[in-house]
Amino acid sequence: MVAEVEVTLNIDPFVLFDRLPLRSRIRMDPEEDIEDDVFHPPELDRYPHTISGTFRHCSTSPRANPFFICQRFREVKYVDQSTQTTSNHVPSYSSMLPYGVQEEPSYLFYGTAAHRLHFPAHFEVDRDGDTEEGMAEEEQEPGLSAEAQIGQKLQRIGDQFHRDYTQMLQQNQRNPQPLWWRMAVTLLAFLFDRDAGPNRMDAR
Amino acid sequence: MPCYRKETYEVAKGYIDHCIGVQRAPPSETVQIMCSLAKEMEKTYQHKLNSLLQNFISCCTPDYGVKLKRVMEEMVGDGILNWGRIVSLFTFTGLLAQELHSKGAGTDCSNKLADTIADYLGVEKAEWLAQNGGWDGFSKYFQNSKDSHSDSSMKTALFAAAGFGIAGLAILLVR
Repeated sequence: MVAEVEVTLNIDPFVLFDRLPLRSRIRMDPEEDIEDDVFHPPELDRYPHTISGTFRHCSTSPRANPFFICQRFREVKYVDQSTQTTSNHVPSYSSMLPYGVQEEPSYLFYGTAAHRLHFPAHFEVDRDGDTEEGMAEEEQEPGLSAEAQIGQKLQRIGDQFHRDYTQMLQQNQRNPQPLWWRMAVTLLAFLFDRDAGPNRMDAR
Repeated sequence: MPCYRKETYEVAKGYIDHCIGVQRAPPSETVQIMCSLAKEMEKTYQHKLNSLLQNFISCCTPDYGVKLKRVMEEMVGDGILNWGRIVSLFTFTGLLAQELHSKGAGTDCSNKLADTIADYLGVEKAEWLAQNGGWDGFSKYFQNSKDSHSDSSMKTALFAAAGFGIAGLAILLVR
């Protein structure tokens, strides 16, 4: 059984570089960085920058030219050994991956696809902003009357609002007053321990 | 067949009156909850709602009642209705009433908007309202989620204060 997992990440290389462990940064040779400026599919295997774990084959060259970035990540494959017959093929296991998980190099970005990487990554969900962008696109939808578009947008807003409230209700029902309960228990435990302490000493 | 026209009209009229500031009688509990929810929604989706409103007003037909009915029909076009959609409809209608009122429209206009909502929700969607406990069900639904949230934070604050007090006393007594 082979289960393939494709991971697509939109990571700002500068942020990635900053977050790397120092050991990994040191291993990034400036000369190699310059050589990696332009994407060379087969040749790049000779210049692996060991970063860590899954990002083992990630090569970046932000200093030379941030617009020509080739980022390569390994594709992770899970191989169930128990269901396979023995063969001469010895898979190359990484020390960073669990047993049975194979690595296979694959390119995350090809050609100039990494041009977008210089944009700052916005991870925060701005519902109003998001919907505004979407709305601008939707406004150009042909064939839909203004009322229909407004109705659909109100539907989406309403659904989101309803979801938020349902979640709030479920959370409160699932977790009834956990903080005050924990606080009360801690307080009682503290008080009884303090009171029991001298008595125990006296008993001895 | 159940009919919620009267109740729906009262809620819609009360809410619209509150929005345009011509409220005479104190609002019912349902209207108060609707006002608070609509305010919350307005705050979250301010830009989008304003843009929708401008889009709605700039449409060629000046008959806002007819247009609002089409919007409602489209909103439940997938056959699903929930309290969130109803709140979004009320929020939008409130903003529309405010806009029309600021442009000099009389109370007839706001009455017509309330009528349109009452006709649609209270008559055409009466079955759904009946299944969900009517407007009492609306109040209960949002009251429960809000109460449990505020209750837990209130209890937390009270217990924190009491806890610090008892801890202080205990430390004083032990010493």
